[in-house]
Amino acid sequence: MDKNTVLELVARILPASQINTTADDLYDAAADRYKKYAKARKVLDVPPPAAIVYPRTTEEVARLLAMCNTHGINVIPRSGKTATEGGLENWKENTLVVDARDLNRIIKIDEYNMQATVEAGVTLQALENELNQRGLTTGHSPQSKPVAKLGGLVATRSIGQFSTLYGGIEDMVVGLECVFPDGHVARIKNVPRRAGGPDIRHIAIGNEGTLCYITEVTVKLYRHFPANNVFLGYLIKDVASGIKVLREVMVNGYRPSVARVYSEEDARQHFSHFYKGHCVLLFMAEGNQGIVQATRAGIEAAVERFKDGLVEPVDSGLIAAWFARLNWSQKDIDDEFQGMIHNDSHAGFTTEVSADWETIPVLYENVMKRVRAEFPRAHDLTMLGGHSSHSYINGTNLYFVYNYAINCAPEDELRVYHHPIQRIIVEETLKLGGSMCHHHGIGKYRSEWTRDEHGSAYYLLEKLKQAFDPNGIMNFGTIFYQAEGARFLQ
Amino acid sequence: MKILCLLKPVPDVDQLRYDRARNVLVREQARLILNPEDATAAATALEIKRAVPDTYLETVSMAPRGARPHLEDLARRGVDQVTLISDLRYAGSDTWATSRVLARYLETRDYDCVFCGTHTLDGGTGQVPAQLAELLGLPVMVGITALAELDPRAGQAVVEVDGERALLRFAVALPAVLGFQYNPDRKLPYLRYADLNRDVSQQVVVLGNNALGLAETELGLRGSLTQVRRIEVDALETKTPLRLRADQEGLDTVCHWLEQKGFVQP
Ligand SMILES: Cc1cc2nc3c(=O)[nH]c(=O)nc-3n(C[C@H](O)[C@H](O)[C@H](O)COP(=O)(O)OP(=O)(O)OC[C@H]3O[C@@H](n4cnc5c(N)ncnc54)[C@H](O)[C@@H]3O)c2cc1C
Repeated sequence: MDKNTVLELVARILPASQINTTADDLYDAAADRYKKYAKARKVLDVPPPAAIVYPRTTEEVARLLAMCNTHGINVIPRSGKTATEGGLENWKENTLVVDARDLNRIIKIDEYNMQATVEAGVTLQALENELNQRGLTTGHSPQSKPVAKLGGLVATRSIGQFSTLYGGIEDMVVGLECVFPDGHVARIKNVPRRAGGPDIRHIAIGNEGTLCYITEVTVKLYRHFPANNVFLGYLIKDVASGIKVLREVMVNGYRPSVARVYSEEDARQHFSHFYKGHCVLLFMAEGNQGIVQATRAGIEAAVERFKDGLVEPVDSGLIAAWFARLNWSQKDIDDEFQGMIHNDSHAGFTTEVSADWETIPVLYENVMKRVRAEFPRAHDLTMLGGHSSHSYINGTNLYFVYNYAINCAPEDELRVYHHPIQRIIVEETLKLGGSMCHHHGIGKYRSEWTRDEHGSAYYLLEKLKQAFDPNGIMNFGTIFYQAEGARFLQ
Repeated sequence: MKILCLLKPVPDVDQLRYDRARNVLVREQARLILNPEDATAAATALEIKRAVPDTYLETVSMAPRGARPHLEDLARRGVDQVTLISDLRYAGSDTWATSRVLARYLETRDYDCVFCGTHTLDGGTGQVPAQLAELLGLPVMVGITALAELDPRAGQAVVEVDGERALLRFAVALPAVLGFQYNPDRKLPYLRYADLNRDVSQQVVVLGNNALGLAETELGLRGSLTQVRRIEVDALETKTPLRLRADQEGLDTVCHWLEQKGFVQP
């Protein structure tokens, strides 16, 4: 089938105003932020999709998916376009990008039952703006909040900066509506809890567009008390000392909304004005006054208990000011893109993993040692460090952060720099029993380890794919390894 | 045509830390980069080599052995020979002692022209090109923004130098030492993936004072005419922001400030 036939089939379902075949937009749709540098330099090695379509109703989504299923056309669901792991990258000639741009209604804000229902294309910021006016919040606050949309946020199992209090998106979703490749529309109802068999929400949450298209989401709401926020910061001797404090806070039952430890190198790029060459530990306590005060006391007690690792406290105003500027707007994303056109550099790469408390400090050291010893371009590294930013009762995450002077051709950048480092991080994490992706999803570029990530439980994942997407039309190459795409994975 | 290009690996100044207690610059963890003005010189030489393929290009660096990976990349980018002059006894050399080492090596080489940067990021005195030229008995021109002509047969190079108020053109008799200014648009060619692990050991020559045979009294701190007594690091100070209205008075204040700081000419 050629692209014109794909367009003819689409035209039977949607009017021309909902079909985009502009060359620049198709080029942009060929890849996401994973290949941001190659994209900016116009050297993408992947094909553009045949078209981007903007359905306005669930019914249109269902008809589009059923048509693609019948004709073997690859579908890439798209929402806010902030994907970082190749989830939006296209590996097929005949691909339709189904964009949630026009599924943009806030359907209901139910203040009494503390839940809000929105369509997939609503940005989290738009929803938060509505909610904040009413003294409410979803509690979700990823750095991409101004741009990311609810469909993508649910599809990637995203997590926000206040996760230690509110949890990840999986803790927030009450119910949802999604469409399967055969056109079936499933509505998962909104109830406080149920024991009606396995929790089927989790088939859609985190599916990264490989099983179904999410059209509508209902999330929980919380009272919002921003005026009560308390910030605490400390300079500490090393990452391990900070992890000990984080654990102490968590196991004592406190839930600061933010609880983070930065390595010295990472602290340098965020806190150059106060880090004094040390690691940084920081917290934010949030909620009603009583909870905030108790959380603050709990944090201070934990810091006191491990004071051997403490260098000095940091003025809390500095932490508050830093936090206020942390989110990325579309302008920040565009500015980075413009910068990459002119300079041989970008804002860096990250790989986010998780493991239990015992494992995390070992993992951090193992990765640092291996990268320094084995990475052939170690002399080009301008930054290698990391931070822990999401903690749980049994462990925490690690966000490895790295950047480098790009000395190679733009089309070679990932395989020369990012891939070898990412490989080390993933291998070390899996070796120690951790998870290779904490919150960005598997995308395409960690699919070669999906089997290792899940071990014997991969069986369940594989069966889901076979059952819901037997023709393999949903987001080819994402989550599920495809030999055909191996050339891109080098 | 044979071009020798001086290339100094320098610490990435963005990563230098200053230990106020010990009053020293902590260089250990700072990554090395190629001095940007030298890289412009090398990029210019590689452009010439691309246009005139029988050009022979050798880079010469006096540096610790840790600089070797950066220098090996030069061979992968098209340099014919990469020379690393490295000897623990050279540690502490000032610009004069450095110029003497470089001159001693250059005396053993055959060349039509010596390229280099005008300043280095870490020192910034700009003394090496002139001292080297003096030792070799060659003419020198620095601050070059463009090379209009390089013709060894005619024995002449024509260069452009930014004279702030005017662009100046000079003809320089060859062989000469030509010092370039940083030009972000003139970049070293990219490394290609296929070349990354190419064995270039045959193109890399490492030598020390045993080969150059300078006297002990000419080396390192002893051979230096100057010594660093103390480094003063400017303390960071918080500036009070000045809020202006978008009216004539505001504009005048901004213009005056820019003139005062030398960003624009009155
Ligand atoms: C600056 C920046 C900061 C970030 N910070 C965070 C952070 O703090 N926390 C975090 O978790 N992530 C973060 N991310 C990653 C990214 O924002 C999240 O993965 C986000 O959830 C993606 O949402 P989106 O709407 O942009 O989805 P998109 O980028 O459009 O898509 C992401 C994936 O979901 C699939 N998908 C999209 N819409 C649908 C749908 N309707 N149905 C089914 N599948 C769909 C796509 O096919 C793709 O695989 C950040 C990214 C950037 C660029």
